[in-house]
Amino acid sequence: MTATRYARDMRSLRELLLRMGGHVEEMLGGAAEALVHHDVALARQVRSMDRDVNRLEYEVDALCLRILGLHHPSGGDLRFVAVSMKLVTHLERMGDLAKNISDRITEMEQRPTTMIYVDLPRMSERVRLMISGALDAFVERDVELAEEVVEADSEVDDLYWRIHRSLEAVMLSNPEVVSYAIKLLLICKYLERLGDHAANIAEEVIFFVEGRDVRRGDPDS
Amino acid sequence: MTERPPSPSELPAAVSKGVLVALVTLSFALMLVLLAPGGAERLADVVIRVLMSIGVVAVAILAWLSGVLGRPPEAAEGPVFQQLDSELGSLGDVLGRSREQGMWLTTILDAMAEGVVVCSPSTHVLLVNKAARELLDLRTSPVEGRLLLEVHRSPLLRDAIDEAVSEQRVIRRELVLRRQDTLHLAVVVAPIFEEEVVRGAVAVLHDISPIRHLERIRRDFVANVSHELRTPLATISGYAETLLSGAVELEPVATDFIEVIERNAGRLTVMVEDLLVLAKLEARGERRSLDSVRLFGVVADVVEAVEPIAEDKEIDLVVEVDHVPPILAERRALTQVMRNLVENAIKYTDSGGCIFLRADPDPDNEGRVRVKVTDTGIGIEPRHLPRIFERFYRVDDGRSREDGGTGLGLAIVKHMVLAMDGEIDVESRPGEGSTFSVWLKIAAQERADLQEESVDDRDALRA
Repeated sequence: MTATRYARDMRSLRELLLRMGGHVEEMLGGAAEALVHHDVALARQVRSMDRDVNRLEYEVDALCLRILGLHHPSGGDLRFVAVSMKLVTHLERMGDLAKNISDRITEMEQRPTTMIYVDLPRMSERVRLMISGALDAFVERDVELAEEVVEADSEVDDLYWRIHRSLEAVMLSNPEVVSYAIKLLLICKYLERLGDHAANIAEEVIFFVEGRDVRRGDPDS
Repeated sequence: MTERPPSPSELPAAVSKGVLVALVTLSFALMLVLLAPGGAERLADVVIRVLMSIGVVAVAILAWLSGVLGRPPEAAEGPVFQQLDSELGSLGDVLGRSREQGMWLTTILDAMAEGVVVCSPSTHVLLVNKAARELLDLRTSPVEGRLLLEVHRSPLLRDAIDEAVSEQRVIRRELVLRRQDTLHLAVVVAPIFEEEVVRGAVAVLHDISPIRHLERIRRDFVANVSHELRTPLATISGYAETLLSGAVELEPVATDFIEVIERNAGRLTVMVEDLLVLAKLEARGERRSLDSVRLFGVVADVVEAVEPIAEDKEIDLVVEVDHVPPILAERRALTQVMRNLVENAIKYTDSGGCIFLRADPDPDNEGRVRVKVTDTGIGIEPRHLPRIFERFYRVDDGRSREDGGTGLGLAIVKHMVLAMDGEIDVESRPGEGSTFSVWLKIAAQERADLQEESVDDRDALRA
């Protein structure tokens, strides 16, 4: 009886985490599309999804504590629960960042006219691939894939600085677009942070599978 | 017994005969032991011998039995064997058929354009067809037996399956997968019943992205039109207001302001004209009335019109269009198509560049002519190419607007070419230049002449 309950709880934990990851992926995809098409309705929809992600965070936390208290897991299961408690924090923040992107989109009054539109969608696509890669690596316990995600982060950082510089140039030459350009710059920063969180998740996956610690420090520090 | 193997009905009798022989041997040996002097000491020895003789008998029985089993099949003519044989045969048929049916079903499922996913009530994946694998981008394999969320993280599909199972009814949803290209899937999930118990659910996924994409273009179009019209309007009303509130008295400033107003009014006019042309082209469902047109004359008109701007930018125009037969077109539309393409080429080519206008018979289709406008300009990045003929799609927003472009030119060109039963395409390499190709049909009369000519040529050769 307890054995089946234990197995059931572990399965729910896995499903809740994946569901949360799926939500975050959807939020980022929606935010990126809303940005390109200046689709305010879609941005609002993305915003409302953040509530689900927050609710899932509580559920995962509660379930982790119950598993620890009730079933005293050990070995791989214990590591899984420990990693889950970390992933859930990253995922919740990622949801917040996707929400922030949507907020900036709704604040923009109109579709951009003279604006660099090349690098930003490219950056959001890279970040999306990092997030799905990190979650795939978690599901498949694929260390190689997780390492690829960690490496991809520097590419996203480079893109961020490139966009940063060109937005700076745009603002200097065309003061009319400053308020718009600042919002784009913020969105860029959010994307860059999303990439950091994805890389952190990938590092946790490597720890979870191999017990090897490859963390480079907290993205917030 | 040695002459012929026993028939099955003789089998029990034969076995009992063997056992009888063994028993007789055994009792005879025991008697001998008991009668012999000091027999008790030799008892063990004798028992071994008796056991050995029993063994011999057993081997004999076995050999005899193997004769029965090893008989050739034609000897198995008894009714029992016949029945068994036919039953085994039909069982094989059934197995073969069901395997065939399974393969047949798999083949059908994999041939379907719609994705099919079957899950257990606990949302473990039971079956996924090829289309579903592609639509949901399932890279893990095998997916069967895993939790649906493990292979596809979007919660919508899983929740729909949950709902179909728990509420025992058909659930319809729209699943939007935003990957590099956004995918819209209409999802229908139905519970699977077996003797009134839900055994799982089947989800059918239908790709409705093309419809959603068209809706998106329409929405973008409306947003673009209002934006494009509003900008010059805002400028005009702003400057007019300033003039009214006193600036009209200040002579040099007033002239400047009125010039700005005039320029923006001109932009609005061009835009509205372009929109009207597009609207007309779209409203006119039927084909245009096409005549036989000599390309050279059209190109000569276009070159004459654009030569001044080309000379200003020191761009050479190279024309080689005189060796193609007349084509089927509407002269005015063809002139506008060529003019738009050449003007575009000039716009995106730096000073000192070159623009080629060439026409050749299409090597793949002898009834058509391919007209090419090639420039040595800045080129177009590959990711823009699929969208370049869309209305208001701009590769370089700022630049095209400064040059007075409406963002409608290529959309108009494409419509006109299609209306003349032609085709248009673009090839480009950033930094090296672009080539716009237009394929148009050769006028029918000319085609007949061409064929006659070639027949004449052959006759001439023969002579």
